[in-house]
Amino acid sequence: MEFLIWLEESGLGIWIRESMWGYPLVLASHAVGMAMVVGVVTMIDIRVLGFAARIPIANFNSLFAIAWIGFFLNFISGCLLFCGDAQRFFFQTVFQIKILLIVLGVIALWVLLRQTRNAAITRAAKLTAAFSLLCWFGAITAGRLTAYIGLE
Amino acid sequence: MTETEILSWFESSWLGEAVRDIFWVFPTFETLHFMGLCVMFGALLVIDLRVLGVARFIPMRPALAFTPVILLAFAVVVLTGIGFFCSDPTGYYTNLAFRIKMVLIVLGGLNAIWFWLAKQGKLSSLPDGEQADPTAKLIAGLSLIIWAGVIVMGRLIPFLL
Repeated sequence: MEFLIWLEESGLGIWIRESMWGYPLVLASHAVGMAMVVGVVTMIDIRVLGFAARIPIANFNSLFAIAWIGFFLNFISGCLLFCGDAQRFFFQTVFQIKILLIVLGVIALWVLLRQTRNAAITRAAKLTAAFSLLCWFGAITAGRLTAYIGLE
Repeated sequence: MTETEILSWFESSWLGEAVRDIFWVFPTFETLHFMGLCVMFGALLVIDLRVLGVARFIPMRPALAFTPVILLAFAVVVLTGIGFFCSDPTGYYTNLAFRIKMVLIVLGGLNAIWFWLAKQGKLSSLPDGEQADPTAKLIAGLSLIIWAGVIVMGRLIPFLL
């Protein structure tokens, strides 16, 4: 609790709330990072589910770098946005759900990469891909709802 | 019809009314708009990074099979976008970020048509692992920059009045 207040009163927290360009720029980076992560992950998921089956799964490797750059961008911009209003986000249920879905989404991706390592696509891999889609699209939904639900 | 008449026609349309007056429609459209932009950008990344040579080992012809995914996602984004616009046509029409965004979308569309007319056919027979020509790479680079710009400008609409 004290830590949350400390975050809000930190230089970063104040910068996000009060500087003219801080908040809009960080928010814009968060949207671009989202498009990179969720975009690449969705393409891999639909590939595992049977779309564009002529692309070998292993050849998607080079796209992972982009997904990780997007993830890193969103982790940083997300932390900054969190500092701006730490107490609200920390106790907000839809925000907690969003973070949970992102953690599950990352785990699902990690599992999916192991399941598809030897090029064959099993039923289990397809289930993981579907679960991954649910997690990431769910995270977007929960993220959008942080602006609407559970505000004092 | 004058500009004002056109704008008020959008504003009084059933879509405008629905997005303004039913409380869950705006957030739902926003969520769909975000999902659509992710899918669209992801499919663009597959094609453009292949053409740029970053994802050189993705075979070109199946990569181009992601084109319908782009068009489908674009349809979702445009339809929900029309919904936002109708809810407050004057606000959007006079908004600087919105205007820049619309110009960028037109540029992105022309860039895509350039790719389609000049490169799509030639590239689909590109052997696996081979580099595309410099013009194709230029188009692919422009595509990623323009569409990332569209996302940024969209997010700036509430701030750049």
